[in-house]
Amino acid sequence: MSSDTATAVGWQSGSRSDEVPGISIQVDDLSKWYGEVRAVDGISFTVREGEVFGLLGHNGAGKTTTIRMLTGRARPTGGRALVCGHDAAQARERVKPLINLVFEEQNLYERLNARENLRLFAELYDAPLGRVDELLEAVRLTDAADRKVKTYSSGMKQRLLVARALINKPRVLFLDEPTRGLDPASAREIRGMVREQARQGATVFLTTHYMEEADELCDRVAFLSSGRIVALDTPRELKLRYGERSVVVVLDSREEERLRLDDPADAALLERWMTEGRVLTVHSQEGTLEDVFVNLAGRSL
Amino acid sequence: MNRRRIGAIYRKDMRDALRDSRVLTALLMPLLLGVFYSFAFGDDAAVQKIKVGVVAAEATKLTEAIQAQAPDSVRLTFVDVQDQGEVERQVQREDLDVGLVVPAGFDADVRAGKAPSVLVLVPSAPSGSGGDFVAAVVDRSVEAMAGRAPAARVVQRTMKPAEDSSEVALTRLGAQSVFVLVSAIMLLGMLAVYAVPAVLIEEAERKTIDALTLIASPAEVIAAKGQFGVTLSLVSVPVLLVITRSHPEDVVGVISAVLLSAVVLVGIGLAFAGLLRTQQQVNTWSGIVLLALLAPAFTVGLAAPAIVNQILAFLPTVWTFRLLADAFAGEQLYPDRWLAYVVLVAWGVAAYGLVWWRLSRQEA
Repeated sequence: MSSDTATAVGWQSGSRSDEVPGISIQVDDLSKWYGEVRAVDGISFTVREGEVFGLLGHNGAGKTTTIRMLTGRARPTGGRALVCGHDAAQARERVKPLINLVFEEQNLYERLNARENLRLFAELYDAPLGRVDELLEAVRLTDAADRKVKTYSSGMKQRLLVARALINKPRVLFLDEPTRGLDPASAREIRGMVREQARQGATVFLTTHYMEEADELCDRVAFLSSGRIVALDTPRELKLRYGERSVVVVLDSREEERLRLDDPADAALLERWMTEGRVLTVHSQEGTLEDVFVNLAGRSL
Repeated sequence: MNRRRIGAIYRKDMRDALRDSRVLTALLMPLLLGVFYSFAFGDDAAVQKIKVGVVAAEATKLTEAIQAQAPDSVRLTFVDVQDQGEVERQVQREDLDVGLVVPAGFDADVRAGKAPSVLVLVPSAPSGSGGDFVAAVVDRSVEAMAGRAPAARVVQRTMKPAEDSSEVALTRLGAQSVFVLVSAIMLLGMLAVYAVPAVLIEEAERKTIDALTLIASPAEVIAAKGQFGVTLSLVSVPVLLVITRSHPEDVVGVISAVLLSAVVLVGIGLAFAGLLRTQQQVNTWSGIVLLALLAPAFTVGLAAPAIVNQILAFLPTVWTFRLLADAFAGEQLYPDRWLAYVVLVAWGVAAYGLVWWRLSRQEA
């Protein structure tokens, strides 16, 4: 991202009368039912200003429904969500200019070019038109700016989606599976943009299937399973609390053995090998978020 | 509603539409059809065709005498009709441009220097119609037969036209103009119930509408689509008239009829789009709705049964056709013009009311 975008966040500050200082999102007992189906079932959490917050869960866990409620596109069945101090359902018009969203789908106007796509949203958000060129430059699409979007690669489209979501310098940026289906290089580029937004002070609310991505980007993550939050903490704390602590031991026979530190039998075995001088190297293995999720939700993502 | 945001979406829609083959097809098909009709019926305006019904108890030279009075630009066709009642009905239905009731012994009386009566039945037609021409030359024709004036007493009776006559416009305006009007209605219909729903459903299917409604309201998106449809209608119908070299007598009347009809039909298109979810549904169902809207066009020139005309009278396009035909002729061809406005406004209120109701439910 260009450094000149690293200024104030948000074209319009909006009313902050109900805002708790330092808190961007406050969710209290939020739920959404579709008939008998509880898509979201009484979740509560807060997201601090400038924090990158990850919401993880398998398909149908309620991630997208949660984002829809936080962005005012679905009314909660119960509870409430405050975004920048405003009720996302009751004060949608106040919330709208303060947020933006990178959708899961690449929902761009494909017969228009990148410049026309961004110009439309600059006009909708009443942002200066100079912001269009600034963002095209930031996402490295200046050279392709006048090409129809339908000729773009998936990575280019995703960069344009991110640029579109930044058109109003949102105070809270929501990203719904932003790197899904991208090649590793494009995914890395998108992650770099997310980090840049956080560095500039925006609050980032992210959903993803990729545990490594959440681990790399998020200050805190919440695991959602069947509409409920089953764990919420920093990735490191979650891994320490719920992950499997182990070591990989390379023996003099060049064999590799994985031993669990919580298992007394494995600990005794390691002690014996050390005493016998058979251990060449020991590598500590931290649990992964994937392990944490499997432990908590009972199945993999 | 925020006008700036509506304007931004509207400009995007217009820009996008010019690159959208479906919208271009909806525009070009009726335009090309209009051009085709224009060429196919192009000689209509040059020669005035007049159909004359004749009730005569015996052979008469009057028809030949009238024919002799006709200039090259007039082509007369004489049809024998059984009795006066029948000729009255046919003139009333506009099957005939004019009727002549020639009494028995007419030719002999003329030759004998008597002044027999001849009855001329004309519809309540605008000036310049075939009926007027024949009525005007009967006197001269009889004088030519007798070689003196006055040779007969010409009694003219104006027949009240039947209200449900679908061929009024065809008779008055000629096939070329009528089919240009049919193309104009097809254009309005295609844009309203195909192009507008197609553009709206594409937004929903590709979820671009989700990006719009992050900042704009659904009502603003719908308002922009409405403006888009009305603009295309207001631009394309005059283009159709220009390329078919049509010269309506009442240009303001044409513009106001197109504007009112475009607003109403686009409202119907928006309400219709609210019932659909996929592009495939648009392709299937808009064809059916379009057929219904074009029904008045299919009945032009046909003596449709009364029940058909009564059913068609509920369609907005019937009244659009009548308003346009009136404006083309520069005078009132159809009675009860106020009813046209009432029906069109009623359709508009119903359509936009339905759109508003759905939007308010969505907002809630």
